Amino acid sequence: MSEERRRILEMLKQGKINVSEAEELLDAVGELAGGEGPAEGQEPTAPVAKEKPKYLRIAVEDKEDHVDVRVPMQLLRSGIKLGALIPQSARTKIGEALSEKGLNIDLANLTPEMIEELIEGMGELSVDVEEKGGAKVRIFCE
Amino acid sequence: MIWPPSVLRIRIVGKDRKRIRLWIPLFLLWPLIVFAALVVPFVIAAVPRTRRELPIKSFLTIGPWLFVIFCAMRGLKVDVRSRDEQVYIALW
Repeated sequence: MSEERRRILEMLKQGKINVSEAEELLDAVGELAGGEGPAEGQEPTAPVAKEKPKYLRIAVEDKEDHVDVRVPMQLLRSGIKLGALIPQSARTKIGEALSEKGLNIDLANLTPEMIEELIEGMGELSVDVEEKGGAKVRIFCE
Repeated sequence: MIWPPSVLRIRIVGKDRKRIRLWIPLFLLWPLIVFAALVVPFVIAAVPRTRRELPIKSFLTIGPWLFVIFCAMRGLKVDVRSRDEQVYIALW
């Protein structure tokens, strides 16, 4: 328990503050502690390294149909990097078509860091769609 | 280092219950695939239009890139099933 929290509880015990005031103070201390390091007496914990997603899974299930596709992330990385080999004339047309849809992406200027950031972000991706008829669509990374 | 896929497994079941099951040891084809990756740039360079459109550096890198993509396919799985039919393709 942090020193601040202990002091607040002592003040509550002594009647110097009431329960509502104690609650507000504890919330404030909790918010502050969220941005700081570990409390006194606690060892700093190393940030848990998020495991990078290895596969993109797409699963569609219907009453009669079943689709399960697993795409390795490495394939996505290589495919995106391959965009740099597209001829300039084709790249311009692709860029224009994407811009019309509101996507300003330049395939040639995607750096490996941007690609890694994109793939790490995809680790949180989870799409679950369920239709009334029972069809289910799931898209997630594992 | 990512190794290329060693095995390709294909399973196809048709409406008439005809089954095709293939288990292809890709590791036996690795030398052929490497050879194809080296030859493909020259084949593409032989086409005049691509010679105009692509810079010379791209010709040198197409082969290795195709091999990198082939290696990245390790773990790819496609399984499509309906009531009577099935297509299953997996690379390990």
